[in-house]
Amino acid sequence: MSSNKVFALLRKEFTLEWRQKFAIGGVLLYLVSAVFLAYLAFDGMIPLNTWNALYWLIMLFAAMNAILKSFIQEHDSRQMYYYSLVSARDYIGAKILYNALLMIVLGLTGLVVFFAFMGNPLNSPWIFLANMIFGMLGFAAVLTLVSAIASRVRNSFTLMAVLGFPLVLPLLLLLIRVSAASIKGAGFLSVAPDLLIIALLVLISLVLSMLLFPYIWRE
Amino acid sequence: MKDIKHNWWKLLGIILLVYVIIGGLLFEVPEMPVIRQSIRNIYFHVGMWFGMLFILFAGMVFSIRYLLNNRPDDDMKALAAVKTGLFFGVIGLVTGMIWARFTWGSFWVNDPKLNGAVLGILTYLAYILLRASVDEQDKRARLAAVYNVFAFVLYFVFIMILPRTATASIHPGIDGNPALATGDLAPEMQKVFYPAMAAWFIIAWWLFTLNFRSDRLHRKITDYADITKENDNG
Amino acid sequence: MGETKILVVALLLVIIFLGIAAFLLYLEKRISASEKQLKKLEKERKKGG
Repeated sequence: MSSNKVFALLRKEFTLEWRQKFAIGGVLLYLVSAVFLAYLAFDGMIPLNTWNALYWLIMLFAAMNAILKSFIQEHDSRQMYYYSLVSARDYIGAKILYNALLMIVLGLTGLVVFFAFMGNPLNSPWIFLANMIFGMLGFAAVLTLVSAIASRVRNSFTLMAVLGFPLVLPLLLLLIRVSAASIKGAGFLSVAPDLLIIALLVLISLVLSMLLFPYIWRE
Repeated sequence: MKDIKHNWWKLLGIILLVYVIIGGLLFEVPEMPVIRQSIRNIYFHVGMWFGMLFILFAGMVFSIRYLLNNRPDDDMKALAAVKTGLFFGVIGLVTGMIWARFTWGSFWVNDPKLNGAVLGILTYLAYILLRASVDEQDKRARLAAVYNVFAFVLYFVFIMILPRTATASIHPGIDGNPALATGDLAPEMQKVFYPAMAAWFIIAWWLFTLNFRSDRLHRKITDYADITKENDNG
Repeated sequence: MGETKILVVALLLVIIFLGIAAFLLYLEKRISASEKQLKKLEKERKKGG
């Protein structure tokens, strides 16, 4: 795997995204609307563990949306073009990396929006941040591969959700747990075992995605 | 009649399971609080659970083989394995729910093992849906195979870390090993439990082969019909 | 009294299971027969075609 090619592809993704500002704009708008909706639905007062769960659920749907789009918006002919230029591994590596970065930005934005409506409940913010970054990497690793599959089938978004949700759930559960602990103000040592498992899950998902993607790409 | 040389193991499975039913219900079991006599369900519920894991693992192997060799038989085997796994999963879940009703008072509890079981069923139902969404045979087989490998590994890892995701659980076996601390199993129960595992593995494999063979027949016949149609039109 | 009850249950379950097993064996027979028939047809096709 050549890092030059990966970075070139990454740059390509960024330029594409920038040209279609409305795409990420759409996801951001979704974020704000969803958080606002939650705020209204709970009459302005959200209990802490609900806050936690809501944050991750909203993030998950934003992730599914954003990541699937990254495959759908590129026409088949252009994908053929890339296929002839770079190895499948480089391609998916770049996509996952880009999606992870995108998700981290979305995660931070979502956090800020939540703060705006409901204040900051985080007592161990660094743990929350570390957890969120791992989590987004994990989402990207799993959902990019699932998107690759779903984008080649009709009814992509439904299928994306149906395929992606069970695969992402174990990771989600762990993320929610660590996140809840970080709200309560837990110390690093107490969440370390969970973070380790999360890291393991993310690693496995990454390796699997890179191993399996080439088989999807042979079209 | 039937080729006993190739099929003896199926009869063995039948005999073993009859033994398990009789022994499971009539032999002695240790007296344990809350669960008491219903602990006998271990021979069935847990046996099916492991049978399901076994056949789903086989399904992953067939998917890997398909990705490497592109042989349609491997794809059909993967599908048959998933279907059999789903069947066992649903029955396992239902027996688990009935067991829960007798032991804990309600059909459902918020327990990681039960949630994990539902998760497994959702995962493989998604596989079926994926296959149903693609019309071209090769594409369908390839996408399904990729998903199957991905799904099983993630699911298996989840099962392994299950004990960690629970702080406390009323579901037996949580301390130590998934489903059961088999080392701790009382000797009078081991007498039935190990044969039960063998029996369920055999039954699972048998159901899988029946599934696969009938699917393969169906495909050969439809292929045949297509070829004859072409010949007639051509 | 409890003893007889469980004996009856065990017996019932065995009977039900043997019924299921019989059904499976019946499926076996039909599938094997179809497979043999298909093989024969394929051989004839090869010879004729």
